[in-house]
Amino acid sequence: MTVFKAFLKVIKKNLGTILIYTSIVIIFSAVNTQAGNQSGQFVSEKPDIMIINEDKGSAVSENFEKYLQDNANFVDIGTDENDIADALFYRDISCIVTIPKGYGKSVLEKSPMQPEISSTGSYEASLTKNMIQRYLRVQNTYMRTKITEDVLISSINEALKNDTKVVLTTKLDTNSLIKSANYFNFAAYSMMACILFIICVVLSSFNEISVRKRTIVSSMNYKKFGFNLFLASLAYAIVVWLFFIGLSFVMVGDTVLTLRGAAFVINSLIFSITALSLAFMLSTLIEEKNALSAVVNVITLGLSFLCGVFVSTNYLPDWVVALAHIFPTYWYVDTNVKIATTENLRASAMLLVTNSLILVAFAVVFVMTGIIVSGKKRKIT
Amino acid sequence: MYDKVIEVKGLTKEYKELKAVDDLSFDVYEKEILGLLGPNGSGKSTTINSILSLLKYSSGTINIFGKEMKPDAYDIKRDIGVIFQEVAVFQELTVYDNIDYFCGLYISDKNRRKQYVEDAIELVSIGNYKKFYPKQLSGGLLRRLNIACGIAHKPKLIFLDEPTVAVDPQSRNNILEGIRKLRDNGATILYTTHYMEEVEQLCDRIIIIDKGKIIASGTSDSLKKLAKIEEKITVEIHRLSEEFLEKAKKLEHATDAFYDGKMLIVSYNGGKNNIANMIDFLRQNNLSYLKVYSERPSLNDVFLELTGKELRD
Repeated sequence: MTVFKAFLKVIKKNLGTILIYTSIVIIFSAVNTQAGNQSGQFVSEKPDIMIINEDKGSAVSENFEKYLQDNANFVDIGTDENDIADALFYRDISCIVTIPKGYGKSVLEKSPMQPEISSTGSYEASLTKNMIQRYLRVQNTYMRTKITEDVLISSINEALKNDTKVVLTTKLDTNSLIKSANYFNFAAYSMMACILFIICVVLSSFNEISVRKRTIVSSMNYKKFGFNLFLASLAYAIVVWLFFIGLSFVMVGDTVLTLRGAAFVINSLIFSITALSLAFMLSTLIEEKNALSAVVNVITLGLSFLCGVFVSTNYLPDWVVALAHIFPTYWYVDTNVKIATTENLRASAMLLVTNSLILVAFAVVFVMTGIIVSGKKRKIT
Repeated sequence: MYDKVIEVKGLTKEYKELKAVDDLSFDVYEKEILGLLGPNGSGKSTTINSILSLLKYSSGTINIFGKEMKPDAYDIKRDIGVIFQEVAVFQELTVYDNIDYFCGLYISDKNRRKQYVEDAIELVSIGNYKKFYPKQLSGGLLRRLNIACGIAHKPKLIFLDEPTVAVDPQSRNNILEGIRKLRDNGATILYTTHYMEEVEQLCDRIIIIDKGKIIASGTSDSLKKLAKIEEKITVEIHRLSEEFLEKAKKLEHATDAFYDGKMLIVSYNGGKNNIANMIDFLRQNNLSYLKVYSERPSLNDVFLELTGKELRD
């Protein structure tokens, strides 16, 4: 109990640091929760454009203008050239489509004039250009046949009425699952920071050579002392893990009580144990207590950035992702992503188990390294 | 004679070519303070670390309380307290919690421990600093905390390894007073230092150690007889020619004299009026001086006589 109590008192002295790391995950998760519900449904986007029709009175031109108005957000800037140029410059609109005078007549004469397009070159402008190309392809197809103006217009409109159907094949509530995966990914940073920093600080205090000498010469069995220290560290890691699981009920509670939620929870438990073993190894390797904070920050932040905690691995360069494979955080994040996106979780169980076994293997390597190093250091010379 | 608390026989510790401790044998008796005196690097700390089984020694036997001392001799360790040269405390724990923790490694009974911690705090006089953290304490107070952590469990045998290094005189006196109290309360103490004044003040017996070997042992008085001088007279004098130095060497009962540019030191073997004779000598030769004083030989003189070098070299 003596060792356990001293352990808790040292933790208490570092409570501020724990609160900082916990706040970070709460803020990240809250921002993520506010990010909107856009997964699982398809919404066609409408670009903001301005249309200048110089061929008023022509039914063909007006039909083209109406098509554009229906499929884009028409922004009325007025007729002043400076205002129009400013609107384009400040991206109030993505492009200006000018239907030239005589456009309708040129179509009926089968030698169509081209509408003028001034754009910002943005994604929205590209959408507008695609929209115009689509209209012109249909118009030019019917234009070649010998039909009247009315029939031409009705044929174009009939053909354009058929929208592409977008069918989403997944039955998953991807929005909630992605949010949960993000929460558990962010938690990786905070859990690792809380566990690494505190355990390293506490163990380095107990392992400080003068304190260790005093412990060795005491009547407490050194193996019993080591076991007590291990139990206290394990208890702390479990408490940190339970805290973040409790927090998950607040942040992403709708997912946690499902089968996939259970998978997230188990994955985070294994990750906590791996973080604990990493902390054990680091505490034996780092001699300088003052350097602990810097080392822990470098490791937790470095692993988080490299392994997809803050930025999805989809956006990381291939070499970074390849490098990330040698860190446990990558496998933890990969498991979370698989849990969130795999259609049939039971069928993918082997993949998840493999990832978990890799995390366990990391833990074993860390513990073995720690034992070897601390064994060598136990000799007081 | 009291019982032997520590028996060391033929203790040798070798580091490759170097013999840090060379065939050391000595005993420590119940309720005595034994001083282990020697310059830095003489093998004092190696000896203590070997006795405490912190170091694996090359050969020899060590018995404490009549039993062989081993790393897992927890029944022996229960009655041992150690105060190391380095301050061994947790920076994250208060003064009280530090003493409570280290006492807790020996005493599991909460009520008894509480009393012991209070006793230790009183012994080293740090009652006003119970809630302070180590980094808030001065060097002297930190040393006192270090001692309290080592003796709170009321051990019968206490090892003190240079506990007063880098401590101001007032704190040093406090610490030495505390050590005397421990002895008066029945503890046996093995005290290592390179401060000869401390062993003279504190220790019942002294072992002088150099290059891992015992070069002399005994009480302070018996050791001083080895110095072969009875009195030393020191004169603060700014200028002294070689001629007058030679004259000083020939003073009655003088055995030797040397001048370092500021001090003339003359050693005597016998004589009752040496200081008066010295003042007469200075006046007769019109030598202006600042101060004249007489000293008995110190342990440094013993060390000088036995090894040809100063204790503090």
